[in-house]
Amino acid sequence: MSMRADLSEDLRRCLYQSPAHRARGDSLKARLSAVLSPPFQCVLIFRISHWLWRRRWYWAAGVMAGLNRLIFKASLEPASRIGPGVFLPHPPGTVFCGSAGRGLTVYSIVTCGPCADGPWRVEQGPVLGDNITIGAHSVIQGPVRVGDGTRIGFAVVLNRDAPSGALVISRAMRATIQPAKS
Amino acid sequence: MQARPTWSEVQAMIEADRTRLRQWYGGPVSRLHPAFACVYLYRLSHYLYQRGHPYAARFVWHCNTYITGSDLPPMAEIGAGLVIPCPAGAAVAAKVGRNFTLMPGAGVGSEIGRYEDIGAGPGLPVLGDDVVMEPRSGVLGPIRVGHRARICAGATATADVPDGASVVGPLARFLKLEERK
Repeated sequence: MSMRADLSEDLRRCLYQSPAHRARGDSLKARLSAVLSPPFQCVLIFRISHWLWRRRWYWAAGVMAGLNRLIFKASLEPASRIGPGVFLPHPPGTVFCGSAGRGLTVYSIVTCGPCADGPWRVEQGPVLGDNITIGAHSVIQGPVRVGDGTRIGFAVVLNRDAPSGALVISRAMRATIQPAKS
Repeated sequence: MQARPTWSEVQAMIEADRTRLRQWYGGPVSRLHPAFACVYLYRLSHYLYQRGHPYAARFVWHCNTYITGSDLPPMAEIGAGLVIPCPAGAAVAAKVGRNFTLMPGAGVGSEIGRYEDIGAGPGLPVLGDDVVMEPRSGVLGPIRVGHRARICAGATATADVPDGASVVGPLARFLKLEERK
């Protein structure tokens, strides 16, 4: 798909799925506000860097990725393939090095990438299917496959394959509350 | 009394960092890449701190936090071969050995309420050589982490870790969507 088609799909998701913009409808003002919002700007810079990377302008792609790191503190590898309709509600701290299908949603400070021993290559990163939601603080590491429509909860560490249509949660979701020391 | 390193020693450390970063990435890494820039600025601020220019060190430290988003105070001592691939959010306040790998979202520092000094400063941990910290892991409090230890993703070490050990956190659990009802 062309970059333009991908971006219009991204903007559509920003307009209709972001609670900040959904209430204001589809007016020109709402569109402008969605275009200028960080979730869309971050994806826009990533799309440009991926477009440059596909044309083998690796240096320029690196500059655009560096711009994303500098402004939004989001480290989206230019080589990673992400389908149309990606939505990053809170870009800071996002790390993505892998490939994903359509309709990806990534909440704040999610790490999707190869194992800690390197090399930091897209082929070593996770392969995500379509319509996947990744909750805040989750980690997906290594060359794992995640099926279509899977939802990943808060603070999940996923380092093996996940089936389609599943809900993945962390085993340590329960907090203990200790009474105050008097 | 603190050691007073020369700039050529610091440059040798920076070169070791760059060599290891290049091996780790499996390709060339630009000097402006934040993974290199944050390590360079940390080495510069640590050098200034050790040479007795605390205000200049503080200025470089804050520039580092502003530019790359990592918090590497000049008081921390980190050996050569430091790799921080995605520096946004990385925080290290500790004494660390050589060849340290810090993945995104990992942190090393003190825990509230434990302020013993074991060599790194009040309440700060001491890490050995070749320690790997996976994403979203932590080392908190005045503890010792041995050589070649691995803190796995999502795990937090708050007690001493022996040499070569792995600290494993909670693993994922799969539910089918129908099960939720």
